[in-house]
Amino acid sequence: MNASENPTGGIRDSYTEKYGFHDADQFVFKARKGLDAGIVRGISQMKGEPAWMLEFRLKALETFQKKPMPRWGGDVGQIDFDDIYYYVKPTEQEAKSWDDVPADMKRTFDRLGIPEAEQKFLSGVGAQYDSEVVYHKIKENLSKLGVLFLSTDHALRDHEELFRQYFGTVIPPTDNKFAALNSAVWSGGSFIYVPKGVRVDVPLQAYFRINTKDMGQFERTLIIVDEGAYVHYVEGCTAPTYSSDSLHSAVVEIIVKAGGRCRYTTIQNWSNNVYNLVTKRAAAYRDATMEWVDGNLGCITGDSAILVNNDVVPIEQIEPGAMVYALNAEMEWERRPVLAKRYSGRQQVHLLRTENHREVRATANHPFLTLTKQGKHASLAWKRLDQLTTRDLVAISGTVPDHGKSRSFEPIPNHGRKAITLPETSTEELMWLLGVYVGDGYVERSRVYFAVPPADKSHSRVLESLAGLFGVDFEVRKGVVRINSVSLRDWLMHLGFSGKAHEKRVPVWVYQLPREQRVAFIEGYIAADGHFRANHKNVSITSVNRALLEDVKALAIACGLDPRKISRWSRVEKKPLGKVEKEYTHYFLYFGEGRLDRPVYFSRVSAIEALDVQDTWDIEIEGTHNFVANGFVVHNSKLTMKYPAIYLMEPGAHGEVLSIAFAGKGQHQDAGAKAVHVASHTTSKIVSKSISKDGGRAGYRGLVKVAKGAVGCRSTVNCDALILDDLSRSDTYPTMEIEEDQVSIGHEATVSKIGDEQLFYLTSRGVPKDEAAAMIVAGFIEPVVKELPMEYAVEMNRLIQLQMEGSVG
Amino acid sequence: MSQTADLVVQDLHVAVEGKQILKGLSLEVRKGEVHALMGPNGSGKSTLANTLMGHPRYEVTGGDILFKGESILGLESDARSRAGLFLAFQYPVAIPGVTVSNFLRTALNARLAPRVATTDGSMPARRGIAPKEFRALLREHMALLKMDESFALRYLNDGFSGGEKKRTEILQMAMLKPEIAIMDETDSGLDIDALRIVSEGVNALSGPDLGVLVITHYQRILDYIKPHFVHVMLDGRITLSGGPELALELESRGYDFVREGKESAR
Repeated sequence: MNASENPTGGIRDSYTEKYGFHDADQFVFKARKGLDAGIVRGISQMKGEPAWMLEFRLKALETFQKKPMPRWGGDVGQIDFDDIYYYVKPTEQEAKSWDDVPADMKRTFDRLGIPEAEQKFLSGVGAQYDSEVVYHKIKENLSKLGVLFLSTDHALRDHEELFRQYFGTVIPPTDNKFAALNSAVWSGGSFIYVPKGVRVDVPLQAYFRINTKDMGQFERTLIIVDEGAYVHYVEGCTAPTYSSDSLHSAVVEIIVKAGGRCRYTTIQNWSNNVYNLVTKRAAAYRDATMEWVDGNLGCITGDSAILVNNDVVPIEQIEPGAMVYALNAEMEWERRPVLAKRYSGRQQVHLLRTENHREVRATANHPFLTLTKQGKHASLAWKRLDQLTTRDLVAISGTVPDHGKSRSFEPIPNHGRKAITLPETSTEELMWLLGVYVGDGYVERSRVYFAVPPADKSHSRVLESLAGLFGVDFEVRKGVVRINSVSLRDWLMHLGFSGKAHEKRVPVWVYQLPREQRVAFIEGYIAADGHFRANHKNVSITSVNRALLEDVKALAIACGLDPRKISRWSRVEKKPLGKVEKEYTHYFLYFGEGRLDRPVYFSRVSAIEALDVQDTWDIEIEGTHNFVANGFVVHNSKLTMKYPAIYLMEPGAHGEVLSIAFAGKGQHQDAGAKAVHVASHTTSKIVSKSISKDGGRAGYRGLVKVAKGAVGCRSTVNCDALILDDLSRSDTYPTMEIEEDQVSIGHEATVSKIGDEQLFYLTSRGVPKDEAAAMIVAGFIEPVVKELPMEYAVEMNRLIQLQMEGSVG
Repeated sequence: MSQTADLVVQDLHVAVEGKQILKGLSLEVRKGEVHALMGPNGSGKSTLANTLMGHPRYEVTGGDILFKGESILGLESDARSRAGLFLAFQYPVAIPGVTVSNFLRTALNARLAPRVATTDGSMPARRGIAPKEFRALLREHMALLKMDESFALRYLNDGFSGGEKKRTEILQMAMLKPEIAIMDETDSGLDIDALRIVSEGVNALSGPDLGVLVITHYQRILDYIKPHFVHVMLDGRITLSGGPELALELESRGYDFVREGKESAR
């Protein structure tokens, strides 16, 4: 067994073997693919729902269609909503005995060990197969106490009043696009009601299985824990390993009333072609406790978003394989390949501008790297564009490493009567001259002109360069340098330099040159069109061509220069001899005084303006998740929505989130949580454990929010990362939004590597190296695993062990 | 007593990060014997201990280590352990989240299960110690070291006091039943009571089936563990060997007398 050749092979193979099977499709009803009001009506009718529910669904559908794709919602750009089955009904009715479940389906759940688990250690089990719950049963003693554990559909039928009182109250359909989608087409899920004072000591479990290809599973779970009651609910999910993607978009709403306690444990082990976009939220009332325990073993691969690198390529032209610059954890630039690009549709965009006049257009949810200062401390966090204010400092690129190469020029056919030398490669001198050409040069007929009069201090350098580089003859007439050479003219055109001032742009290849040549080009351009204003140390460039100035600005940013704003200046005048009034418009590009020598700078946001709807694009970067867009450091957009949230609504409420993420090769696993302290004297605790190996990236992302007026709140966040080799990474993005002073917020993050000394210690007792490493990992996650039901703890450890096989030594 | 000693160190040269620490050390330890290796700080005592156990950072640049007649230089530390070698660490590291009990059972099972593939290439079914049997064994050995039973469920060396760590080392030694045990400065950081308990534990384990190499800076531990042989180490090799009386002489005269002796011998 040599897993090191295929380090993720272990778990993936094991997944395929264990969960990757699928049954022949079987169903009593399958709606056509795609989503519209007809499908929604059909689902509702099929279920025989009351009119209010149909209305609720249709309204949610409208919301879904109106809402933009959430960029935070994960790598969702590739989901084709028209290519999904929204409703597949596998059986006529829900069974109360496994004997009544169709044989094939029962076999599926048998293979997954569900009936056995029910016997051994559960109070009740629900099993959902595609859209519908096919089995649901609760132990008799509990139902006698008034505990309800039903499929959500069933609950709507039998307990409509209770259902209606809570349904959609914690997560309204307007919350986000996927919550709206779920609200429109929901089917199945669990409904739990635990009456006042009743404790359900043994867990209830639901098991979700996607079987049909191209299936969307939209279960809806609603848990109500009444005053002083307790329940532990476990959900497990798997899907077959299909080559095309499935969509799992659940909504889980939990209400924990005064003094109640609810624990919700998730063991997700989706195959890696399932989009898992779940909105989970709990509201905890006075003295209530809500706990989320999250063990994520599925794979969430890299994320996405916009733009560019050294080459300064528009995002729509970037192709997979291109190298872009990304900021690593040490705040240094490194080059990373683009894995994928996709069109994200036409979306409302906003213009973000900083005080130093960097500008970028992005959607409201696009994340930017920001620096937040609180007293003496400064912290970095990714903030969405719509969360930015003019108090925020956002990261902008300074100097990126220089990977430019000189350009080789192929010879072009020489039509000229006079032979001239054409340079073979680009040089600083040539680029300077071309910069001057962009400012002051033009072409007429067979001649090339440089409008650089002898009085200009660049005049002699232009003449020297022309002679030195091309060996051409020139004459100076009326203050203009004139070269009569078809060859030179053709060569300039061939390189992409236009002959007319309004059409000039910076040719693409200029962006790919070594920095010093790019700088020489800008210097040449400044020599031609630049000037110093009185009493200013900085330079500005004037042109009638705004697009050219935008090009130069982008080039200057890529050089680590500090270009500032482009402003417009117009005047209307009559020519002395003319009759018509004519408007003259000029643009100015101003430069800051120095170079930006450090890799990253922070500049204050000066404005955010809503623009119109535009085409938007995403790119996905290997390993890291940020890149530079118009000189801004931005993050790939994905923030998966499986981060459970707790809203602490009344004093004394307590929330806990424990999570584990394991990232192997090519994986990006995020774990995290959201705790919102709405009321005073509420407490929360977040423990996040992440493990990364073989170049995987695991991290914590979370939000602790304390509302204004909520005093005496306490929150502790512990993010521990274990990194198994030098290739792997860990990221921590804690965000704190604290609007109240009288609170106690603790945040602790540790990053450790498996140490040689730990390995030596364990192996010196005879434990083989891979087993020793697995042991260290198991120990690392132990504080979370011990909170899992025993059977899951065993499974978790087994999977970790599989992941670890052959990974050291 | 066999012709060749169970552990034979022959002219051992060891470098750490390019720096030569051991410069031709030779030593023989047989089962049933207790050897004390004494030397001042920096003489290379811990280097010897780690090299014998196969720490990857220590590079053997010359000489050989024979265990039961065969060179073990090619074996990883886990294989050396399963062969019957044991090192009680001077500074045992913490393994958070792994209980003493879980760890010991894994270590025990590692030596019970055959680790070679069967002829058809399949791994043989792992035969581990039964949980009940293991618990009884653990309880028995913990009593010997006057350890509370709750100890078994604590995380290995995590938050342990110096005395608890050393006792845990002896507990491991007792459970794993090595043939040759190296005790690297086991006395460091122990108060007198802990030292007595640990020493009693070692004495209880000593016998014809165990050879012990006690590495120490001070004579103190030798009041409790009586060595048959005492070796003095200076600058990467053993410069003086003798009986128990040598330890006392070192105690009263210090290491300088060995150094002087070495000078005058030249």
